[in-house]
This record gives sequence, C-alpha cells and structure tokens, in this order.
Amino acid sequence: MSIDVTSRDRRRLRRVGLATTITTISALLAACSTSDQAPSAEIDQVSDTTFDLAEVTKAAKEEGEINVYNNSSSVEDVAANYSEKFGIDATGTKAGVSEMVEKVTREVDAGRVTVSVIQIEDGAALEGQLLGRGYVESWVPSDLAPKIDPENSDPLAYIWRALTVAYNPDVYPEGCPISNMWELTDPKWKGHVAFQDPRLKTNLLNWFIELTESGAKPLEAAYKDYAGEPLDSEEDNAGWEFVARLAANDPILTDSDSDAAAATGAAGQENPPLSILSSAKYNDAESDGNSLAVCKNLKPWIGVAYPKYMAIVKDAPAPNAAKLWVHYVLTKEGIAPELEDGGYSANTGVPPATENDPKGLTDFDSQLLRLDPDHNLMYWDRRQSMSDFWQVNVD
Amino acid sequence: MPTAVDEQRTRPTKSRIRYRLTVAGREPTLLIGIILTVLLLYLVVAPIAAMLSDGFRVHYGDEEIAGARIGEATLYYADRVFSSPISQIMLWEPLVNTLVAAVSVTILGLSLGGGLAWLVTRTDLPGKRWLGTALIIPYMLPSWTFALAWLAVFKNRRVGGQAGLLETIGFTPPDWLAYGRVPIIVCLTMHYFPFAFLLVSNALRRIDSQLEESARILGAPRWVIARRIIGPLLLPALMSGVLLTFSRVIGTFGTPYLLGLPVNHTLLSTSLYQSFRQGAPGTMAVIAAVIVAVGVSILIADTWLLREHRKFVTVGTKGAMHRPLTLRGLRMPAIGSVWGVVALTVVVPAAVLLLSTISRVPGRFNADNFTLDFWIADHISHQDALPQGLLRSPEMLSATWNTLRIVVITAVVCGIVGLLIGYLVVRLAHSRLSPVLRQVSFLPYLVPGIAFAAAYLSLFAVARGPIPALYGTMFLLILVLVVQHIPYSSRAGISGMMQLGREPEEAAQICGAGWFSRIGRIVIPIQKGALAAGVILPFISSVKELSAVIMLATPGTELLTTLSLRLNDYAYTQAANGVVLVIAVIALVFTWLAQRIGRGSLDSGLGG
Repeated sequence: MSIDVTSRDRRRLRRVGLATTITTISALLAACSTSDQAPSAEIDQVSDTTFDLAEVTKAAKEEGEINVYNNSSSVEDVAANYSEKFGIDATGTKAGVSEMVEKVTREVDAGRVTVSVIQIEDGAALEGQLLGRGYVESWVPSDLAPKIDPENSDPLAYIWRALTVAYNPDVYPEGCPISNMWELTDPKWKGHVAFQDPRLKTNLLNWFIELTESGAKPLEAAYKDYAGEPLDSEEDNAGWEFVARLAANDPILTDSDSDAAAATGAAGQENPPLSILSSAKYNDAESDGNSLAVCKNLKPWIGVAYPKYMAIVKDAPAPNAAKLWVHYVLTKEGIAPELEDGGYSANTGVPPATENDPKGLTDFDSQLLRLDPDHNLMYWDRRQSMSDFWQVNVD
Repeated sequence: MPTAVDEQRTRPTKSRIRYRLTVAGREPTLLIGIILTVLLLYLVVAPIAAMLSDGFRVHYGDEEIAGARIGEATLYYADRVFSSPISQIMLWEPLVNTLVAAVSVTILGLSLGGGLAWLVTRTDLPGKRWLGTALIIPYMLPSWTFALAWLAVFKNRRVGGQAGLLETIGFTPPDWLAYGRVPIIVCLTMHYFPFAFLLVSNALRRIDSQLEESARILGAPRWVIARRIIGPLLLPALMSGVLLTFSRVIGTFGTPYLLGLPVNHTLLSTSLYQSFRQGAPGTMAVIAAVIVAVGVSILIADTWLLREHRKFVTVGTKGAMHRPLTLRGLRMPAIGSVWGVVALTVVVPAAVLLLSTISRVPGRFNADNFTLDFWIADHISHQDALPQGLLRSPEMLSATWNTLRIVVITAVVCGIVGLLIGYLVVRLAHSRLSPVLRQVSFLPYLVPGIAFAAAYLSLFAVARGPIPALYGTMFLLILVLVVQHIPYSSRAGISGMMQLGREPEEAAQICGAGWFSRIGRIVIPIQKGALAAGVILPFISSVKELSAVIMLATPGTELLTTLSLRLNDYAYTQAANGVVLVIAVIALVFTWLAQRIGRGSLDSGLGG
C-alpha cells in the first residue's frame, strides 16, 4: 500500500521540520548555562562556647547514622569504634583527595549531600576549593580548643604525619646510601627514586611549593655541601632547581604509596630504588614482605611533615553526629587507629605515638620541613603553575 | 453535488480539530516519532553543547589568570590546551598517540578478524560453531582485562609494586614491552578484532559463491576475483568495522590508563581524565571536544567513502550457494592458528588473572604462595579498604547489586526504545522523519566513551529546568548508558521491523484495535527476537562499560567496573583482577544466552 505525498503532507512535514529546529536550538541554549555554582563564600569557623557534649551526643543518636571520608583506610576502624561507642551507624570510606573534593562539591551543588565529615590531607585543596567557597565548615569543639595550637585551629588540623625518604636496609646494611637531598637528583640515582605521582598525591606539589619558599635557603646551603660549589641555576631559587632536577632524573612515578614501598623494599633486589613514602608503609613493611628504613641523617631534611584536616560538610545530613565525630577523633581513643601509622595528634593532651613512627624519625620539628597551614591558599594559587612546571620537566 | 472531501473542507474548525485528534489517537506514530526524535537530539546534542560551553566560559578559581569574571566567555582554556607550554603534554602528544593506536588497532584488528572470518566461513575448517562463539568472547570481556593480564605477566620494576610473572621467574621485560604503545595496541587489538570478525563473516556468508565461480569459469585468476568481486562486496562491512573500531579506540579509557601512565604515555582519554582529576573542568571540556571532533571526522570520512556503496544491496539471499574451500595441506596450520588465537585471547588472559587472584606474590610456584584468601577470607591483612575476600565483601556485593540493577534497567529501556525506533523508522519510511530519526539514533556513535561522560557531567551537574541535578544518582548512569547503547538496540529494532509487513497491524486496525494494543499484542510478540537482541546487547556492553561511567560513578553508586579500577589504584591487584573475572563471567553467561536466541541478533546489533 503506497502513500502519496500530498501538498498537505508537505506542509505538515515542513512544520515538523521547523518545530524540530526550534526545539533543538532551544535545547542548545538551555544547555549553555554555566554549570558553575558557588554557594556562600565565607570561611565559617564556628567555635561554640556553648558546646555541650551530652546534648550533642543525644542529638547525634537521634540522627542515627553518619558517613565520613578519609584519605586513609584507618577510617574504617575509627568508624567501627565510633559505632560501638555511641550506637550510631558510622561508615568510613577511603577516598582520594580529588575524589573527595569532586563528591562534596557536586553533592552540595545538587542539594543531595550524603557525606557529613571529610578528613583530607591536602590543605590547599581544602582551603582553595572547599572552605573558600563554603562547601565545608571548619569547627573546633570548645572543650578541646584550649589544647589545640592556634595554627592547627583555623582550619582544624587534627593530626600531623610525615613523608620520609626510605631505603632498603637489606641491601644497604651500613645505613642510608645518601646523606644529602640533592643526591636524589644525582645521575647515580637516575630512574631509582620512587614516589607516588604528584598529580595523584597533590600533597607532594604542596611540598615542592614549600621547598621554593622556606626551603630555598637551606637547599642552597645543602647544595654547597653536596657539590662543593655554589648553585648556579636559571631558576628563581634553589627550590625550583631542585624540583626541576628531581623531575628530570627519571623518577619512578607510582599509582600508590604501596607500589613505591614495594619498589624499594621487595626482597631479592640488587639495586633497589629509594622512595619517598608515608610513615604508614614502614609499619606495614614486614607483613607486606618489604624491608624499609628511614634515611635518618639526610640533610637538610629527611622528609616533610604535613597536617591532615577535618571539616564538616555544608548541609550535612547528620550535623550533630558530625560534631560528635570531630570531637571523638580529637580524643586519644578516637585517633588511636590513625596514630598506629605514626605521627601526633593536634590535641596536645594526647600523647604522640612515637613508637609507631619509623625508627630514626625522632623529632618532627628539626628533621622535617613543615607544610605551614597558613600557606594553604598560597599553595592553591601556585598549584597549577607548579604542576605544569613538574610535568614539563618530567618529560 | 458536494463530495465528502468538500464537506470536510467546509466543516467547522472545532469538529475538524476533534477529527484530527481522533485520527492522531488511533495512529500516533508521527507524533511519537517527533517526540522521540526531539528527545534523542536533546540527549545527544545538549550534553555536547553544555560541554562546549564549559570549555569556553571562565570557571571558579581561574578569574585572575583568564582575566575575566566567572561565567564570561573566554579562550583561556582553548589557549591552554592548544598553544601553551603544557599543550605538548596535554594535547598534541596524546593526540598523536591516540591516532597511532587507533590506526594500528584498526589495521591489525581488521586483518586478524577478516582473516579469521574467511577461514571460518569459507573453508572446511572443523569446529566452526565453537569457533564462531569462541572468537567473539574477547569482545565480551571488559576492555581492560587484557591490560591486567598483560601487567600480571610483563610488569617490571618500573612502576614499583609487585613484579610480574616473568620478572619473578627471572626475565625482566624491557620497558617498551611492559608498558606504553606496544602493549596498548596489542591489548586493544585482542579486544576489538571480534568486530571485524563478526562483520566480515556476516558479509562473506551473504556472498553467493556462484558469483566467484562464474568468474573462475570466465578465467579470472584468484586475485582478480578477490579484488573485483569479493572486495567491493565486503567493503561496506569493512568500512563499518573501521568506523566501529576506530571510534571505540579513541574513546577507550581502561587500557591506556593501566598500561600507559606508568611511562607517561598518554592518550586523549587519559589526558581528559587527568584534567578531571585535577579539577580542571575547562581544559577537560576542550579535550573532550577534540575527541568528539576526531570521532565526527572519522564518521564523515566513512560516510563519504561509502557514498556509492550504500546504494546497492548485498545479493544472495535466495538460492545462494556456499561451497567451502578445502584446505588440504594447510588444514593443520589453519586449525592451529585459529585455536591459537582463541588460546591467546581467551584462555591465557583468563588463566593468568585467575592465577593472580590465588597467589600472594605473583610467579612463585610454591604451595604456601597459593591461597583462596582473596576470594573468601574473613580478613585480609593490609588490605584496609577491602578487608574481606571478594565473595564476602560488602563493597563487592553492593557494587554487584548496583551494576545488575542499573544494567538491567538500561537494557530493558534500550530494548524497548530500540524497538520503538525501529517501528517508527520503518512505519514512517515515507516521511522525511524516518531518515532523520535513523541518523539521530546513531548520533551517540559520534561521542566516544569517556567524552560522553564528560559531556553528561557538564550538563547534569546542576538542575536544568524541570530536571534536577542528577549527579550521584543511579538515574544519571542509566541515562548515559541508555543513550550510549541506543545505536545498537535501534539497529536491532530496525532490522527486525523491516521483516514485518503492515498487514497484521492493518488487520488489527480494521478490527478496531488502538495503537497501544496493536503494539502490545501484535508487534512485540512477533518481534521477540529483535527485542531480545536489543536488550541483551546493551546488557553485555553496559556490564563491562568503564569509559563512560568512570567519572560519573560515586562511592554510593559504584559499579563493578569502577570498583575494579579503584582497587587497582589502591594496589590491591588480586582483588582488582578478581572483580574483572566476575564481570567477565556475568558478561559471558549472557553472551551464551544471546547465542541461544540466535546468532543473527548479535550481528544486527553490531551493525552488519
């Protein structure tokens, strides 16, 4: 059965075509509105003087459940302890920095928040992407506030950890084969320095930036010890030169700390690389089958100390449980799982777990370069240029 | 005497409208066609528009460096991607790497797939039925299965972590073999050659061997026959294969991520992902636009090359004779090579992955190294983020549940919409809407995997009119997967509907059946096969989909595929490999089901 296309049909089809075109154009226009949204842009630092633990606990129990994100997998143990202690169903999830930021911003934008607390190691991302735009709030419980140093209060840093340079003591029983940080850039160690890719572990970028700030002078002095002559470089200072040379020395960039730890520590190697790792890896070393030790005499530093921050998400589904969590993690019991990996709590009332730090790391202040919480916004401003600088020099 | 037509023209407006509405209610095909076309156009064009808009407007944090306020138009991101000191690393090198990989995989895949197709359809090779199924399996596995298996064997100290099998035994693979261009090309070829195999074997089966024999009788040598008879008849299938393989390779994410990043060998998809990870939506959008542009130019090239060939139909449906070629002396080598391919692309990767999931340290073959812990243990030390064995882990179970839920809904929606599109395209064949709808339903081909996710992320990150922000919801994943797989199910629907005449429907119409009861009681029961194909293909494809969902799945809506990659990021290699095996098993079970329903269904879905 055939259909003749009459003039009426043609007119109808022309109208159809016009309708389709109009709809498409309006769809395009509708899609063109920007997907950027910024809620209130104020750093909301609430320190209740009326904080009442009992009241908050009661309100938290009524909320019934809480979701927390942390860069470290110890959060699952903390969540289990919290659940047991307070009878609130707590779920701790390990997530990377960028994943955390992405999730929080998109959830708040969509008005569908599921996470209540984040524990994040990249202060620059926290202040630059989250705090400054009002996606999270930093809150310090008033009963513990006196025990927390001002530099750790705004935003709240709850624990200090370390990244240190490691070597394989089985292959080098006399001790660390290097004594100066500049040796990491030496041709002798070309292709033999392993660490997590700075694009993934953004804290390394913060470290590099700090090296170009407070680290420049000590690095310059250390260079004289290393090379016997003053540093002659085209870069702005010794810090930039160090980063450029480290990048150009063909480092082994891994997906995770564990991969770097295994690169250095795995048994049966003749020429294992050095690596730059978090303290947690030393304690895991034995059961992972790795052999690791800290280069405890490295000049000018054996690594970098950085704080981890804790913040409550805006419009959190369980704000009271969140406050209870923050309070809990600042206590000795709450921080215990995370302290198993070394470091010290920002609550000066909690004794540092020095026995969990890698042997040789005895004094955070003198042995490590510190990532200053006051510098977070500066780190964020320079994030892209340092990332570009690193990538250009790695290739 | 006034005729019925005159009467119609002189009737008052109100009853004319009522008449038109009644007719439309009985035969709403055109209306539904218009609605569907507009909806599909929106679902493909709008995300791309949103993505482009993201690429050319200032985002938060970049006001200073772009010299404009948030939301204002800017070329800063385009400049950064195309002509800044970082462009070489961000765009140009990845572009070259992507094109090299795509061209190589296409050539190798077509040669391998085409050669195997000829061997299986045109010779007297034994075991053809098994081969037909076995040679499709590599495509049914998740695309990065081969990458994981490759790493399990060839990984060297370069990336730290545990050594691969070879290195533990004593041979250290060189960097160029373990990572980068060579393994990416090899693994992608292993995954995509079934496209060519299916398409070419389908086309070969339709070629009447009498054509070749007439030429032989006339004295043409074999190579002339191949060039002037078989070649042109195969060309549409080959070109389809080129298009499919090329566009899949430029959008694929898993394999380049696993094999390329350790040596800084970046493809466009991994470069896009890096921009995403660094929270740079502007550059992400520009790179996605480049990927789409490459996809579109391939489509245009393909259409232009085939402009003549689309005008004829491959002959040989009735009375076709197929005389298989006897292999004689070459029989054993042929059998060996074909089954060798099966071994290399199916058996070896599966065995390697399975072995890795039961070994503590890869490559050590002493008894205490083997363990079922990673599958069934209550607590695995130092695997803090996934402390239980896979079969007992709540994360794994919830990911499986999420995957099945989302994929089943996707598949059913795809099947129904595909059949509907088929119905509309065939029934409206006289109107100008039909080719439009047909083309629109193939548009998602233009947007390679990961660019799709980027586009949808841009579009649905915020509320748009009545549609709420979809980020973090199951619905977003379902939407992306459905739109991505519409081309497959609509192809199945169209080819199914082409075989159904109007008569049954017209008879029902005469009996007074409305549109919905005609569809429900006549079309759908007859089209069970096409519907099944339209459901099963998207199911299999979505179950193993990674590129389109990697940026959209959140820890609440985690899928098996994203879980596998995340576990790999945490260096829980055994668990990551185990999850991939689970995905493969699910996909294979449903592939077997699809084969039971009929071989033709798979081909029609792939566009033969």
